[in-house]
Amino acid sequence: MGMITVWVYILLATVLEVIVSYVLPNSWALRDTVIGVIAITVAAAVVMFYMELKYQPRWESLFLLTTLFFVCDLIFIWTASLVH
Amino acid sequence: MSVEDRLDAIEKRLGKIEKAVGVRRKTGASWLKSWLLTTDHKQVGILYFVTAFYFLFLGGILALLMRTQLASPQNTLLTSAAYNQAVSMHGLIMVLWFLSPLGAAFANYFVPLQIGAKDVAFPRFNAFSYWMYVFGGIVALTGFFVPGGAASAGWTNYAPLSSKIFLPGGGETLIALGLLMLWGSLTMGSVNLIATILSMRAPGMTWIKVPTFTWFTLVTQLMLLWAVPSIFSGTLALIVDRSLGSLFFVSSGGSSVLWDNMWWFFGHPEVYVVILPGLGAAAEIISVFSGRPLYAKKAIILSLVFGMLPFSFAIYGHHMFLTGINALEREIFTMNTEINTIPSGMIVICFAATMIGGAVKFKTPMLMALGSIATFVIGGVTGVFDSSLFLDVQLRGTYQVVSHFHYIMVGTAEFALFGAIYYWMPRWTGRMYNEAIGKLHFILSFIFFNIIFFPMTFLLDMPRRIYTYAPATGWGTLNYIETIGAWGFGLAQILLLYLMIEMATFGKPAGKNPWGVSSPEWTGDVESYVKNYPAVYSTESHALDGGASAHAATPLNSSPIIISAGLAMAFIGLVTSLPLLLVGIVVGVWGVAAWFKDDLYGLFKVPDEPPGEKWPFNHLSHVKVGVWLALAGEMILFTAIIGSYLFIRENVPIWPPPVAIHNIRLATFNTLLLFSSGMTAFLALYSIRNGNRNGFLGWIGATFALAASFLSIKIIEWFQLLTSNPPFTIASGLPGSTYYFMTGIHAVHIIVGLAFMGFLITKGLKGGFSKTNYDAVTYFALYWAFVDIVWVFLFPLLYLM
Repeated sequence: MGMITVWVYILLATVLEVIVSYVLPNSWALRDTVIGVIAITVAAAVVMFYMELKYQPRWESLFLLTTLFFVCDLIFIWTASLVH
Repeated sequence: MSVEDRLDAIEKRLGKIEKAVGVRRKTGASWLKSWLLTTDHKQVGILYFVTAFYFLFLGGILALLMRTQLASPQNTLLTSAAYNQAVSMHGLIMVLWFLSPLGAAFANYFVPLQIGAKDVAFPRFNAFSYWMYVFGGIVALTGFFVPGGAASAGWTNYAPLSSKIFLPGGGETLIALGLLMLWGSLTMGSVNLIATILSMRAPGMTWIKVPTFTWFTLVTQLMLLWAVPSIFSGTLALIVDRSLGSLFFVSSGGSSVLWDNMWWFFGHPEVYVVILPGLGAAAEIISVFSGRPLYAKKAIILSLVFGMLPFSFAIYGHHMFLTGINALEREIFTMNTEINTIPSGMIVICFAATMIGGAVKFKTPMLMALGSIATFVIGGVTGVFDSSLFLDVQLRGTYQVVSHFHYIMVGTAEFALFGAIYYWMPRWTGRMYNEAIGKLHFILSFIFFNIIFFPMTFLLDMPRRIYTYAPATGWGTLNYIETIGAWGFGLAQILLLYLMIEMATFGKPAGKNPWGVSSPEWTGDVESYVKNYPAVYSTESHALDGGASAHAATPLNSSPIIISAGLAMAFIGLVTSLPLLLVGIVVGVWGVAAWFKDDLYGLFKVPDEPPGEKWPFNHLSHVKVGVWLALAGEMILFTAIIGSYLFIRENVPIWPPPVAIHNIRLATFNTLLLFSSGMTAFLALYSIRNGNRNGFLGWIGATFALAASFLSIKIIEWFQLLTSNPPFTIASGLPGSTYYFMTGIHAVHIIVGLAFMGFLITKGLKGGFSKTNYDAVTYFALYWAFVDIVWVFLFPLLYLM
């Protein structure tokens, strides 16, 4: 995928997030979830292409490992927020 | 005798000691310069060692004051305020400024030798870690001299007690600032040691052959890398609360539970960080003095990596059972804590199994190691009681807990590290200690240690952190006995001091390898070690006379000490004196500029590493591994910050819609600028990789312009918010606190990036980059992409949700 395409995707995704924040209701956390998913795809694009993870040997393992750490951290944060 | 003659005589004497501890002074450098400006891992290790003992002395004095105060009911040696300072500073100094750095001392000196590396991966950062540790301690101790005294919110600095509402004096701010420097030191140190162990092993030094002490060090440093960023962000938030009026720890949305989470996510792994280096040394000692290879080394490694390392983070909530967290969470933490006894138990069993059938020699290092394991078992058992969410209701905040953690911190960690001193100091100095006195030191220390802390297990109803008690409580007798134990333990350490002086100066020559060990730090011969692995003993020894190293010393550099000193002056000035703050800033910036200048002109050269074992990062240089590790630390920092934000949002039901406060269009435009700068940074890398110097300069210039624009617009945004009606400031509730804190930290990263770009542009204009030489550009591109990723999450969180 050309780097220009990646860049355009990142910019358009950001604008889409803003549009979603105005347009979608937040019942069942729909709006926040959609924005969150878009943000994660942008982050993934930056990691894979700007940081060139896609071109590292065994990039799939590195990507999975990083995602695993991230998910574990989120689980800790979620359990920490369970107050009362 | 003239002054010059006296100085010459002192220099000669110091030179003999230097030779004894195995360092070669850089040609032409004076003694003082060689130690203050060193980047050599052996000298840095010795500096950590000596400095840690100064802190032990200070922490020990505080302990004796506390114990003497508690020796009898209603004693008046210390007031309540003084006692609170003593108990808080004792805990902080002992855990963070004595035990951890003592482990780091051995790690710095021996890990490169054990794996066959010439030095650590980043020698200047190594020195920087040390000086940040020292000056951080000085900043923290300055609290004793300001109105209100030193920090007195306990070693845990629990909120909101640590806030300005309850502790308005400067001492609490100074401890937070000192801790900030220490966290920086620990992070740099962990990146350094992990990169060294991953990427700088000698040929043949595969993972299973890596000596056990290095394995324990690796796990310790991985824990630090993951744990410290959490408390770094918490400490920064505390400083901002105290200095700028934010509300993280003084409002119901954040407050004490938020601090508890941030502190203990670090604090529990920290206790493993404290014991693991000592246990690693104990593993080596038990193997050597049993004459057998370590039993089930693979099982020990697996226990560490897949047991202790992840679980140390999954059990921190057992410090929070009474904070109101819900029942499910408490059950999970109880369960995880009890599961974590399995890897600990596995390690103890393997140590014991190593001794079975071996020709065990009960020399002082072995006695210390065994004493450490015995107290580890006792401390662990008492910990099992504390881990129960039911029993903890009764036990939490009592002296039973004090007994438990001292059995671990003093019993396990300190005894094991004393063992390491007896085992390894002859390697440094080439001189032996007196075995009879060493054994006496062990016996007295062990007996008096148990006199202090065993009775505490029976003080189930005596609360912690009280400065006195009534006679009717009946606690007087046990406290009196414990105080006798404390004085006995303290005085017994004079024997250790004597023996260390003996080993440094007048002791009998130890020979090249007094224990006859095959490990590379003794023999200097990695090839034989790898070939004959897992042999314990070696009759061959190419060891190093008097401990002097065959490795080339890395160059001297002044930036680490200058930057650290500047930062310390600025931090102390922040609390006490504006002129000192300004001087500190100037000194710090001067140090940073000197560092950049060295890199610009290639003035700091370290010997290249020969190819060796690097799996699983075979294709990466040690520098790139270090950069990725640093970014991993940064990722954890921002996860902690974002996690805290989510925690606060979860607990604050009413949150103003962002559109009511912020200029969303301006923020969106600004975001597009930043993400475009990520693209131009990549294009700059792409250009120089293809040898296009002008393209590189053009794109890096564009990145600089876009980043500077982002920062400028950010400042305009803040100005608009601060001057709006009503003003939206950092004290405007938690929405204001979180917004300015998060965007502020991100802005600091932008500024660092701009400085980095300034360096790259300057070096690029001087023709410093080419098709075959562009590593710094690669590292910048990685850093800048990371800064983008952080904003990918901050933008929607702060402006859209």
